[in-house]
Amino acid sequence: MSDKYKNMLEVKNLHANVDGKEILKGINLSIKAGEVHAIMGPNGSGKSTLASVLAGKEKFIVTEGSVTFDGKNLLEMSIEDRANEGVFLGFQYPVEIPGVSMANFLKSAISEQRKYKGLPPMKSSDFLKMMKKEGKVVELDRSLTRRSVNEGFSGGEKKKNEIFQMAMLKPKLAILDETDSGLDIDALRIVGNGVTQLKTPENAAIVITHYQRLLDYIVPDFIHVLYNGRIIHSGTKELALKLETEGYDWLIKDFENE
Amino acid sequence: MSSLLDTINQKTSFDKFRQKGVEVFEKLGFPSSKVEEYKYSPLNKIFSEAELSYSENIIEGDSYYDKEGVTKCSLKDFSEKNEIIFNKYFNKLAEKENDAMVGINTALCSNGNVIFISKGATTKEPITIDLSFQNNNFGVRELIILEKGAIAKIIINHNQQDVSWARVCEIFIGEGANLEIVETNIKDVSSRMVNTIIVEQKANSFFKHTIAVAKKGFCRNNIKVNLIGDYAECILNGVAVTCDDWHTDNATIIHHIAENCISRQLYRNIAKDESTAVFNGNIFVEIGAQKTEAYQKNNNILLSEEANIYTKPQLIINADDVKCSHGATVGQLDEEALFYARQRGLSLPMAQRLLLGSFIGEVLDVISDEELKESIKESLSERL
Ligand SMILES: Nc1ncnc2c1ncn2[C@@H]1O[C@H](COP(=O)(O)OP(=O)(O)OP(=O)(O)O)[C@@H](O)[C@H]1O
Ligand SMILES: [Mg+2]
Repeated sequence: MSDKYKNMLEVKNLHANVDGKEILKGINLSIKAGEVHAIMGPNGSGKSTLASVLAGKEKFIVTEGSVTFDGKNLLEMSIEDRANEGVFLGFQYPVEIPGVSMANFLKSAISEQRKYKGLPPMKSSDFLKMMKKEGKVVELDRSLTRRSVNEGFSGGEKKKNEIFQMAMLKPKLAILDETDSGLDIDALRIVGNGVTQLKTPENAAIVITHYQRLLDYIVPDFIHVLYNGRIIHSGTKELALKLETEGYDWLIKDFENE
Repeated sequence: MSSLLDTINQKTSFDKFRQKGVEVFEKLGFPSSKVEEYKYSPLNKIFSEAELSYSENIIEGDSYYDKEGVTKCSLKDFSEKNEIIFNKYFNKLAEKENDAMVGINTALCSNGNVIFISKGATTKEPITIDLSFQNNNFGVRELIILEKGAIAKIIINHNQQDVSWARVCEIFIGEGANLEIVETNIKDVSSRMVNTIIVEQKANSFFKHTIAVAKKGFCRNNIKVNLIGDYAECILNGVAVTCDDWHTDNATIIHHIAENCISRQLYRNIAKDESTAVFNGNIFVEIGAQKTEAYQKNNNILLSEEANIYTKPQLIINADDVKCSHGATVGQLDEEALFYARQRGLSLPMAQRLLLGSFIGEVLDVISDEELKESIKESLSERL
């Protein structure tokens, strides 16, 4: 059987706690290479938690269920191993690291990734070329790569910078947590088109958003609605429009009547 | 004590100050933990009177006189060749200090460096002083003078192997003068030391002092700044990395005496193993020092359960129209930042080193010499 028909990511009955409180209450999700899945849902429903659990954030405790990534048990891996296997998380709130330049940060990240894959270190000149090329994808001001990681970046610049890092690291699975929030129309177009340009038949993306408008640029294959730690509804891209006009109430009512 | 004085060459310009120094020391003795400023760094546990000694041969490097207004020489030579200026400045700050270590240093005052920048002159290159010696010496005495409008950059490198010692450096910054000092104590040597700098700033002057410490043994830095002229400003930054059983203590006392002066302090410590890092920060805003701005920050990271961090920020304000803030934090590395770096593929130790580098880097960023800054960062990173 060719890889095409296998799931890249297989989440089964995933439960997770934080500080003794159950946040994820049985998530099921299957993603194949080449697909884009959007996750929507009201505030506090567990979207960021799901993203963090997949990335391996240690304060969340998985109590039940499994996650398989490319046939491997993702839950057994360290944060960095997951990253180097090709899981990328675009943060809802990117972290500032003063005194460490963006260029050096990425250089370390890429060299770790290559080490993990058994590849020789990248040549400096190739690295610089790649920075230039990928910087263009998100129209990132080149001076930003010389500045400290996210320090003093505007909200929009931080989000663009997440996509820029994604472009540099070329993950198999990109999980973008509200990369569209805080963006003006131009930035939204840039980020949306950037993600679309980086799309290949071999990679996949989970796009967490509150707004239909991002999905005009990144057309999803599936949309899932997360509510109270569960996926209560899945559909195709038309669902986003309906959610935009009608909100989540009709789904939540249906779900709670069941 | 007095028998020790008898052995000193009593034919110098310092002699007339010695007796007063003896009195101060004999009254106070090595401070114990009962003395508030030395609570976490009691000197009576570190030094004994038996090891009190002095040495005149501590000067290495070149000397020059009035090279385009810049003089660098030994204190002894300066006291003979520039007697008028020597008498105008020498001991004028030290004699006001009620401090045992300043007392003993004055009593045993032997030799040290002098840097004198005359009115309006500028150092072309930073002046480097390598303080490197192998004998116990409690009389290391230095003098830095910037006359009106002078500009200077000075680098002081500590490199004392296996000694107990005390230094007092008096610094006079004239009207509108500008002085940057970078002090490093990061060589792989062990010593027990008390390093005191006493600064006086006249109107519109600027002083920037950055100190980096990562050394074996015991190190107490007393940094005292008196802002006596209006619109004077100082930036005092310090970073210490302690490992094994090392003990480092940075203690500052800023006196806001004139109006409209600004002081900014940022001190950060990283304590590993069973080491101890201390910060004692004092700001005194005197009556009449209106429109003072005084900021003080101390952040600490504990890398082991056995390591000790003590921090004692203190703010005493006697004027009403002032902006002051102080804050101290003790913690571990930021979890969210560690997660972020690891999510990009950096291993845990790498992510930790990166964040520690960032923690230190912010303190050192005020150093104007890029190369020097990078080399200090590198030396400190090696300890982490
Ligand atoms: N440390 C914690 N302790 C207790 N509850 C927590 C903790 N961290 C998160 N939660 C809770 O988990 C729930 C899910 O939060 P999460 O951030 O995943 O929501 P979200 O769907 O991403 O929301 P938003 O749309 O606002 O970003 C929230 O109710 C939140 O308060
Ligand atoms: Mg969220």
